[in-house]
Amino acid sequence: MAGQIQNVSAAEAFGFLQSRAGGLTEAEAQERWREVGPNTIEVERRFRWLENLGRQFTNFFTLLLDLAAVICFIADHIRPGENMNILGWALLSVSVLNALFSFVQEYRAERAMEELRKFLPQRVRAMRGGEEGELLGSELVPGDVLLVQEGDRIPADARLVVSHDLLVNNAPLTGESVPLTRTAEASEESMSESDNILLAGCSVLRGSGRAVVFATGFRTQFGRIAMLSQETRRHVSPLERQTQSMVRVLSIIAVGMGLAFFAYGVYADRPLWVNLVFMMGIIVANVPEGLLPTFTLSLAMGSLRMARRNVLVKGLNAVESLGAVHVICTDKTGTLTLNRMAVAHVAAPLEAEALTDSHECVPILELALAASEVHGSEGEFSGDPLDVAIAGHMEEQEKGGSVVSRVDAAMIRRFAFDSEKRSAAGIMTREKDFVFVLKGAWESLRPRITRISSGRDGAAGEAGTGELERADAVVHRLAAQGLRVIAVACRSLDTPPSDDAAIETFEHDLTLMGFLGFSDTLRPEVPGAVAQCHAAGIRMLMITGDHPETAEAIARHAGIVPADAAAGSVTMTGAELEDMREEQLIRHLREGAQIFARATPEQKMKIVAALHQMDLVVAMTGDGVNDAPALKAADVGVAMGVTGTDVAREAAQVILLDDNFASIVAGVEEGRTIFGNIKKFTNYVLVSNGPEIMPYLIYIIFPVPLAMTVIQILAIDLGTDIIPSMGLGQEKPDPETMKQPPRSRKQGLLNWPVIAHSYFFLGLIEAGFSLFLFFFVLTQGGWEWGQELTANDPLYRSATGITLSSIILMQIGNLFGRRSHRGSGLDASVLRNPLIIAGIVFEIVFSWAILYFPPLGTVLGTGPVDAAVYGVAWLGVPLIFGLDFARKRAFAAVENKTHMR
Amino acid sequence: MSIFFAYDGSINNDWVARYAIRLASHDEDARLQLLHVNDGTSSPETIKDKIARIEMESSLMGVAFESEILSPGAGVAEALDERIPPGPESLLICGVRVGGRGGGLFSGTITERMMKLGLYSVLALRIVQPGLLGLPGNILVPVSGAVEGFHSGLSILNRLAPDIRELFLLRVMMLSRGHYRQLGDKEAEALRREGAEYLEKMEKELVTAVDLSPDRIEAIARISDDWVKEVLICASRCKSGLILMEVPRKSLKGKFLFGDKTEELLRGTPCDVALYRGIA
Repeated sequence: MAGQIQNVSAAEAFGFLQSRAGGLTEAEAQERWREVGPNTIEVERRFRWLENLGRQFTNFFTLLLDLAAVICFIADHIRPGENMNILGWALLSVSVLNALFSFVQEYRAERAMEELRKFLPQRVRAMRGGEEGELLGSELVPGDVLLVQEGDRIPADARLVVSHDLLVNNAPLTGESVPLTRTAEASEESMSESDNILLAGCSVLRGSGRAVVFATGFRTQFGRIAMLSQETRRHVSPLERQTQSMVRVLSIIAVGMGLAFFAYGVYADRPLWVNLVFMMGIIVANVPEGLLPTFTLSLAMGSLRMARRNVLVKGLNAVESLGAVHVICTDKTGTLTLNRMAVAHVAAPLEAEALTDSHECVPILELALAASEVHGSEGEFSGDPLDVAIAGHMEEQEKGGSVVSRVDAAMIRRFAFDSEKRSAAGIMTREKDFVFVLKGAWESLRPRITRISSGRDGAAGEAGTGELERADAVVHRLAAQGLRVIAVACRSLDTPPSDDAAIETFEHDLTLMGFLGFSDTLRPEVPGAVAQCHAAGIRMLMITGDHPETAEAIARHAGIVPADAAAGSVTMTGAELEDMREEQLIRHLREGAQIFARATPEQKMKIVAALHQMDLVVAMTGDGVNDAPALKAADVGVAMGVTGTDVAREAAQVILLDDNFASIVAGVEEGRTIFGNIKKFTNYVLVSNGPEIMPYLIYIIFPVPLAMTVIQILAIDLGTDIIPSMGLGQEKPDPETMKQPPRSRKQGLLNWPVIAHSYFFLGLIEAGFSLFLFFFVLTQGGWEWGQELTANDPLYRSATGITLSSIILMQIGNLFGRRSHRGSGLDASVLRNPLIIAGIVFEIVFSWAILYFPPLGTVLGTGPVDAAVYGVAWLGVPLIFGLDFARKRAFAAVENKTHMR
Repeated sequence: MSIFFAYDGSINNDWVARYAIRLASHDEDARLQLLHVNDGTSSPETIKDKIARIEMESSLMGVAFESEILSPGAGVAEALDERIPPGPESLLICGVRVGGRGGGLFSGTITERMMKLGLYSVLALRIVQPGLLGLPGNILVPVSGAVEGFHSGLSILNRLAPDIRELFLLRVMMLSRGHYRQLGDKEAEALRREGAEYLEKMEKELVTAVDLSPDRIEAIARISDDWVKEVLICASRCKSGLILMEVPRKSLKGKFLFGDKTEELLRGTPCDVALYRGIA
């Protein structure tokens, strides 16, 4: 056995796969089908969706809401008529909506598989039992003999046994759209390099053939990509992680306090009903029920703003993840560049300096155009990008004119681009002479060159070893500038060419006329975006299939590579990457590797894995089918909207509608702003927890009425706090946003300073002032210490009403304070945020309606107070705002002092 | 070491034969003994033809080949047990195929029973990439942390070594689902370090015991709550042609948790799988 299936002859391939030219018998096919299963790329996992759904319903926060709902139902059962069941249903609805929303988000990710499936044909032609027939693609098994022809998609990995001029497109797997010829001869190459292998998911461009299948379903190379796309789990997003941590802390506090005081109530011999209500109240007061829905709304609105900046976000968490990225791994072509080739340099054969005189450039361009196929005129050309660039540049040199029609008029014959020879040719008439022109890669033309034009004077001399080496040097110098180099050579023909003469009869004794250097134009907005990334502490890695020198040149132009970096010092090739272990790669990345040239899309996953080991948040761009696993593996997969495949778009979380790198940076800014805003409204929402918890603590310790009921707490958490929170979620980016380094993965939403500020500073102020009003109203109404009041007592209703009303009013002062970390938050921009204005208006109206609008008072169990008392409640607004501002000033003074030292 | 190949005449076993021949070819006396228990499931003519083909392939590889048709007697397993000398010097190669009793690829099969008995080393193969012709190129070796299992597989790795392009050692640091979802950065870092240190030790042993240079070995440590998924992802990413692993010892004792994982891996594998159970 010489090796693998590609290394043996076609006849042996049949033998090793226990097959034959007439195909398998039905019995054989069935036996194999039982062994290897259907030819489908989906990894069957029963009940996967159920598992996902279950996960959403068992997260900490959902469970906590469920627990609160259950307590409500129990309370309603013990004491009906208190509307506790309505509360239970409300809590349950929030829990279910949250879980279903997350489930739908996750389920959408499965759509990448649907797009991948489209690459495999439904029906195929194959030999079975000696006869040709049509089969379902899923029925193919190893050993089946497959018949393919032009236009077919290949359903499985197969070894060619017969090939008639077969040309295939392997772009779905390799990303390279250059057509490849396929033969049935034995090869010495590895399976992926071998030219006798047909790969599933690819297509036949020309010719026909027969091949024996050796791998099916997710065992094919295409299937492996599908499997990776399906099975690779995206890392928990930074926001998810921080939310989880916050929810965990809040849940522990809530349940811990609830249970502790329940136990205390039992010990103090209070009735079970009172203890249950108390425990539930503590839990409900501690859980910011409105926070998660507000998160969702804020992210959804952020995604709309991103869409306006050409960044389409599919998963809401990606909105914020983009703001948390430490590294952006980007493609070159089309993302950093316009993917539009332009002639950047015309050089004589032995001089690398650019020819600037149009009289010197035009003859070379004219010859090049004779070996091109371009249609159109006056800047509107179509054809191969290089050919279009030649026509455009020539038109520019000639200052207009119909250059293409002039050259076309002189053409006798054209020879299309030959991918194997990497050249194209043409025969034209010039001053009654016939000239054969060959244009292509220098390595391809070099052996055919016998003379070299001196360029400027048009004379040609012998091409000796020295001259050819000088021409080599010119090519290297141009390549080092990041240019793609094409050589142009010609030969005068003695006789008119016959119509059927093969190209080989002309391809000799050529005179080298010059070189054309092409560059893919850098997008004008890219250097600015790269500079923004540098300022924002975001690292950029370029991963490209291009030549290292080309890649580095573009990276330097874009500013990705520092100007003072030595040539090649930050560049690695795909081959080096292939042989490198993960820890070696990590070392190189730490040492500053920034460009991965000649890299394959598969290697992107290796880079992502290494960056994850470095604890970095990674954004990865991609457009091909084989980019899908890397897009899925990255924290933020970014697909190209214009040039990307459907598979890449489905696998990614973010789609760039204009394929432009600058849009990613705009997305980062938006993401950072969103996180900053989430922090603001989290802080805002937690402040009201203080005055919600405090009444319960006082109630269990002292013989006083409960200052706030559960329904009143929910009126704040799920009512008045929501619109202002959304308003904070819409705040404009801070000018400093893109001047700060990316936040650490460890930086949480809920940390000790936030807890201290929310609960023990602002929370206590709100609690103190609202309870002061509660007892003021009670004592004014004749209440005495230790006296119990029923829920329907008008005095009690008025007292709880003013407590609730004052908390809502004080939240207005808190809202202004949260707008700015250091400043007062009172500036003109507040008027440009309609949600904040709406939130304030709502809070004012609600604080009034609680007291003086009876239907609302009935629902919330509140009653009216004197207008003067309500007026005093308004003092809470400047009180909380002023004290918070004083705190900010004090902190700023301390910071300045520390800084001065 | 004597290499026996339990051949049942199935297509999977035809493909397994390539591995058996290659493994035998790297042995000092390059000898393969095919044992077929005539239980009547295949016609004698078919078996004869198929054995002739295996013999021909063996001779092409320079492997001395012997075949023996055994009578089933009390059963297939018993017939094989009677013929194969117990002890570490015997290696039985067999196939893992659909149709085992109990519906599993591995659980409830004769192969599993023979591994449980532990009379000799057993290597069971499931072939899904017949085009590799027993030459997988890259091999993925998931290690569980049980050093004895790793040691017992070294003799098999030694035989595979000449054909290995790259060997990937994978250590999955397992956590419960809840724990994994709540995993903190510090703990993750500590787990990663623990995994990497373990693999470093394994790698050193591997370089000493097997003819593999360090540049052909790559160690990968991952944290996960789903062992099978991690192995399958890694196999696809590393373009592995073969997953070589010791059958988790717990799966031989009771399949409540671990037996299912082996089944899951065998069903979902993107490449060939070799399960082994060596005896010290």
